[in-house]
Amino acid sequence: MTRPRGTRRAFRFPWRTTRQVAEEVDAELAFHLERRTEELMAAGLAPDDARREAAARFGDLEFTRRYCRGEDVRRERESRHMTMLHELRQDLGYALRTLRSAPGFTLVALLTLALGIGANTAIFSVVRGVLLRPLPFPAAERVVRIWHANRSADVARSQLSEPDFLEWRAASTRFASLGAYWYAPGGSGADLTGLGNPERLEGAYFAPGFFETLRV
Amino acid sequence: MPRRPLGLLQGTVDVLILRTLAWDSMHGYGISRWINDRSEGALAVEDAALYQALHRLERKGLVDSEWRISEKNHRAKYYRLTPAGQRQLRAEVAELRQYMSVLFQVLDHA
Repeated sequence: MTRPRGTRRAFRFPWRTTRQVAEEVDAELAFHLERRTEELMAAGLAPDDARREAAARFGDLEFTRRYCRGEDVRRERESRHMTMLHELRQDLGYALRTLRSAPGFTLVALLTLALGIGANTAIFSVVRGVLLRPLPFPAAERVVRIWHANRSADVARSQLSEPDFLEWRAASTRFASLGAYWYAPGGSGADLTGLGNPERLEGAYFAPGFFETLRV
Repeated sequence: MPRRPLGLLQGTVDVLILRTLAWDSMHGYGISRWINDRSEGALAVEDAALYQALHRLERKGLVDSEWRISEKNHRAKYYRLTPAGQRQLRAEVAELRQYMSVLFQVLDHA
């Protein structure tokens, strides 16, 4: 930078904080006002009048302060991004050159990564299919299960009686459709009697509309 | 002889600043004085507009700034033209010249 005659270079840090930006803008504007005040004093004004006149002539100082700070902060951010991008590109180039110069090592590393990623993907697919499998109903994400709670007995999931269920269904505005069922191992079912020993048949009871709710 | 101040045409602050800095790098106050002296007072650039334009030009990469210690030992922010700024200056001057020429073609048409 060709320097104007008689000036020295002042030190400057690479990255500025918001506060530093604000301080610099204030310093720059203060310098201007001081020189203008001097100019007006040299033209014959009293110091206080000169200062006031300088401020008046400047224009909207507060707006200028805010505007300049905003511009500077944005510039710092853009500059920082450019530098990071540039450094990233340099690092990538260096990494590629290094790998190319050691083909044996590169091959082993790539194979290790391939095996690791492949094995993980396979395991996850199995786990997903078996454990995390979504419900086999259409729009399964909209299916929810609700329980009747008994607050006074401090029970979160209690039994729901049929009249209560019918009431819920009639009054519900949140649910598109409600279904109910009853299954209790050893409880819901029937006894098969007749020839031979009685046999317990497991069963479940479904309120009308249950299968419509699940859309199956 | 000081001339009567003319209203500044919209959008000419930027090109004035660029032209000033093409002459020499200076601080905001210096730019203001230079324009005022060169136009003998006819072009009155408002200080607020000047500083807003300077910071905007710096963000666009058309000028660069640096804090220096002046002759009188004051810390001041000096601006200088970047190569992009030089190109922009040439382009804008050419555009203005063309605009004025066409404008007066129309205005002078009998």
